[in-house]
Amino acid sequence: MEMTGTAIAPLGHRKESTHTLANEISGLHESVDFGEGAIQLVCFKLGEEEYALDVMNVHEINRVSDVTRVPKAPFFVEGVMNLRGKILPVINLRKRFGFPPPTTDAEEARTIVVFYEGIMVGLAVDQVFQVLRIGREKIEINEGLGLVNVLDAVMAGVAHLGDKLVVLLDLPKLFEAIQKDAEKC
Amino acid sequence: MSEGDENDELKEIEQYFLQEATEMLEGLDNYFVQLEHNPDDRILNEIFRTAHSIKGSAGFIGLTRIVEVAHHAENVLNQLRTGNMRAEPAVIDIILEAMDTLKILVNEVRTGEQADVDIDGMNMKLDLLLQWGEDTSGKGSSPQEEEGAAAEMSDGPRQEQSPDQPLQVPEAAVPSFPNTSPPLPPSGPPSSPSSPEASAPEPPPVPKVIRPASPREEGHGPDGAGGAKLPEGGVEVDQTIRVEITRLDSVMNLVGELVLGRNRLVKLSSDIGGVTNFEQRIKEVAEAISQLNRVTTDLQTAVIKTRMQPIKKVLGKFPRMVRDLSRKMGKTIRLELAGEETELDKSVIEEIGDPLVHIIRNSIDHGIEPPEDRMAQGKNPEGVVKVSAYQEGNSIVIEISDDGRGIDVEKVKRKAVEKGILTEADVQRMSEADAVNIIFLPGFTTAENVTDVSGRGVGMDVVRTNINKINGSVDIVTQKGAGSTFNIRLPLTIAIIQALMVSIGSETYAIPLASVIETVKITEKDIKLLSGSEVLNLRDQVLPLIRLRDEFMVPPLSGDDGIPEGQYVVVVQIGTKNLGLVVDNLPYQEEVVIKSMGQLLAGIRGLAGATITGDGRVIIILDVGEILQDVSLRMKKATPTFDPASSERLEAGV
Repeated sequence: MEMTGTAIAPLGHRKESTHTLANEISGLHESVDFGEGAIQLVCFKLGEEEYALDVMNVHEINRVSDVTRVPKAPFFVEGVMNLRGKILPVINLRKRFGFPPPTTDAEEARTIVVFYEGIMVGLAVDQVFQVLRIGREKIEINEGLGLVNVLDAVMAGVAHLGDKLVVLLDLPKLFEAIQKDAEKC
Repeated sequence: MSEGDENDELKEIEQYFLQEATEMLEGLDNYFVQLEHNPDDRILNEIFRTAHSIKGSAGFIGLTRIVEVAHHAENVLNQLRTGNMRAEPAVIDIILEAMDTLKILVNEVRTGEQADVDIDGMNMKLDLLLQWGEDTSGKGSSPQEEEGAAAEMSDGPRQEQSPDQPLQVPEAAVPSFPNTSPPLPPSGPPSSPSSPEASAPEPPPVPKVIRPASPREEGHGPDGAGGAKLPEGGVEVDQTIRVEITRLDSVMNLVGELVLGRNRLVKLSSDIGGVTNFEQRIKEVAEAISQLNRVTTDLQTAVIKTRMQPIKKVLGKFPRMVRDLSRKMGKTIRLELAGEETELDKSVIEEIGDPLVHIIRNSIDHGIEPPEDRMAQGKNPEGVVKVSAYQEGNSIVIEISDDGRGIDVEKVKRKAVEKGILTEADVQRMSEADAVNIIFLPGFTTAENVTDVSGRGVGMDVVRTNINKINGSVDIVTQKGAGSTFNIRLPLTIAIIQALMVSIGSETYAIPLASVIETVKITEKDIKLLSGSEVLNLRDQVLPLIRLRDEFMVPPLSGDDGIPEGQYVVVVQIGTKNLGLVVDNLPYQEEVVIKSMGQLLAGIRGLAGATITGDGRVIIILDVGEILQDVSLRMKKATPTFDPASSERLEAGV
C-alpha cells in the first residue's frame, strides 16, 4: 500500500460533503503530519477520471443548488448561484475540458467553491470522494509530461496513489485560462 | 512631535479642521451671495463669526498662510459690519476671491502640496479695499452721501462690463496705475494706497471701488470664472460619511431586535425533542419568523437611511456659481432653490453634481437672455433659474427651470442635420418632444462659438450619460420664449431598483423599470418583417423588436413547440431610441437589490448584474442601454442604411 500517512482533513463546517468522506476514510488512523513534506488534496471525479485540488485553495464544498443560466456567457459557465446572498459564478469543469456529459448520479454532484486572488468561483464536479494527505514526493510535477490536450495548461502534476493516477489541477493557471476565455467571449 | 502618538493627534486635529473649514467656506460663499442681494446684519454677523473661527482654528494648528489671508479678509468684513463699506458686487467679488484663495489653501493642507497661489497679491487687494473703506469713512462724509455714492457705484460696474473698455477710470487716477493688467502692480501697497487718496477729492469713490475690482475682471475673463480652479460643482468623493446619531441608534435598536429574534428561533429549534403540541410549536415558529421579517425590512431601510444625504450638499454650491457666471456674462439672474433637504443616496449625490452644473450653465448661457432683450420682450430684466428637488414615490425628482428664451426646436433639428448627427428624414418625423431631446446626443451644440461656459457639445451628452449611469432619466419640456424645464428623475438609491420581471420559456429576467416606457400585448402576426428586421407598428410608429428568446438563446421548454401564441413587448427607451423586447410573460414587478456577478462575468454586454429573489433564486438583470447599443450597431452593420430611429423605408413597408 503506497497510500501511506493518509489522514482526514478537518472539514467540520463543510457538512454536506463530510458524511461521505467520513464513511470512506473512517478506517484510517490520524497520524497527522502537517509538515512541508505533505499536501492535502480534495479529490473529485469528472466522469470516471479523478482530479484533485490543493485543499488550501478550497473555500467550501456545496451540493449543487439552483443554478441560473447566464446568457452570452462563455460556454463552460454553468451559470450563477446564490451562495448565502452572494452571486457565485459556477464553472463546469467537464465542459471546460471538453468531456462528454455526465454518467454518474446527479445526487453526487458537488460545487467546489474556490478562492483565488479575490475572485470566488464555484467548480461543478460530478462527485467529491476523498480528502487525503500525501507526501509531496508522490506527486509528479507537470514538466513537459507531453499531454497535448486542454488539460496540460492547467495541470500542476500527477499524484500517484497506488495504481491510481490523480490529476492535480493548478488553480492559478486554471483561473488564468478561464479568464482568458471569458475575455474572448 | 517626534512621538507617533502626538503626530496622530495632530493629524486628527488637522482632519477635523479640514472638514470644518471646507464646510464653513462653502457656507460663506452662499452668505456673501445673499448679502449682496439683501444686506442684513444677521448675515453679516454670521459671516464675521465664521471667518473668525476659521482664522482661529487655522492659527491653532499653525497654518500661517491661511491665517494671513483670513486676517486681511476679516478686516474688510469688519468694515462691512461697522457700516463703513457696503456690500457692492465689486466688493463681494474680491471677498469671494479671497474665499477661493482660502479654499485652495485648505486644499493645500489636505494634499500636502504647496499650491500656486498669490497670497501677497490677494492680501494687497484686500488691503486696497480696506484703504478705500477707511478713506471714505475718514473723510467724515455723512451716511447719506456715502449711500448716494454707493448707489452710483452699484450701477457702475454692471454697465461697464464689456471686456475691452471696461472701466471709466477718471484721468487723474490712470497715471498712478500704469499697469492694470493682472496680477496687481508689483509696486505694492506703498504706491497704490496713495492713488486713491490722490483721486479721492475729485469724483468721489467711484473709481476706487472699481479699480481694485479691475484686476479681477481682467484676470478672470480669459482664464475662466473665479471658481474654475476648484473642482466644478461635483462633490469630491468622500470616503467617510456623517450620520446623525439618531439614525445610528435606530440601526442599533433594530440589530438588538434581530438578535432577540434569532435567540427565539434558536430556542424553538433546540428543544424540539420534547415537543408534544406541534401545532402550537409551528405557530410559535411562524410568529418568530414574521417578527424577523419585519425587523430585517426595517433594518434594511435604516441602513439605507444612513447612506442618505441632503441634496443641499450639491445645491449649496450653485448660488455662488450662478452669481459668478451671470456677472461674467452681464446677465441678471436670480437662483431659487427649493427642497434642499430632500435626501439621496451618497453615491447618487456624488454622480449628480456634474449633470446639474452642466444644465444650470446651459440655462444661464443659452436660456436666459441679456437684460435688454428681456425688457424688449416685456419680461422682468432679472432672469430666474429655479432648482427644486422633491420625492415622488420611489424616486427623487429634480427640476431645473429657467424663464429664458426656451429651446428653438427648429434650430435644434437644423443643427443636428448640419452636424451630421441625424438625417433630414430622421428629424422630419420627430415629434416636438423627441426633437428637443436631440440636445442630449453626443457632439450636439447649438452654440456658434465655443465659449468657456458652454458650446463644446459635450455637456448635455454627459448629462444624460451620467444620469443613466445611476439609473435615472432626464427629459425636457420647453416653450419658445417662455423657458425650459429639465426634469431629472433619480432612484432613491442605486443599489435597489424597481424591476419588471419578464419570463421567457423557463427563465426569468429583470428589466429596470426606469427604462421601461410601456408594455404591449401582441400576437405573432403583429410582428412585421422589414428588410430582415422584425418590427412592430405601434400607434403608427415603427418600433424595432428583438426577441429575447433568440438574443439570449433560451432553451425551449420540454414539450413546448416554440413560440407561445400570446406575447408581450416591453418598450424600453434610452435617449431618443426605442426598442421592443419580445418576451412570453410579465409575471410581476419587484424591488430588487443589484448585485455584481463578479469579475469573471462582468464583461458580458447587456447584463447589469443579478439579484436574489425571496425564494433564493438568482435572476439576471438586463442592461437596457447596452442591449440597445448592440442592437442598433448590429442593424447598422446588417443593412448600412438602416437606423432604428429612421423612418421612411419602414413606414413605406408597413
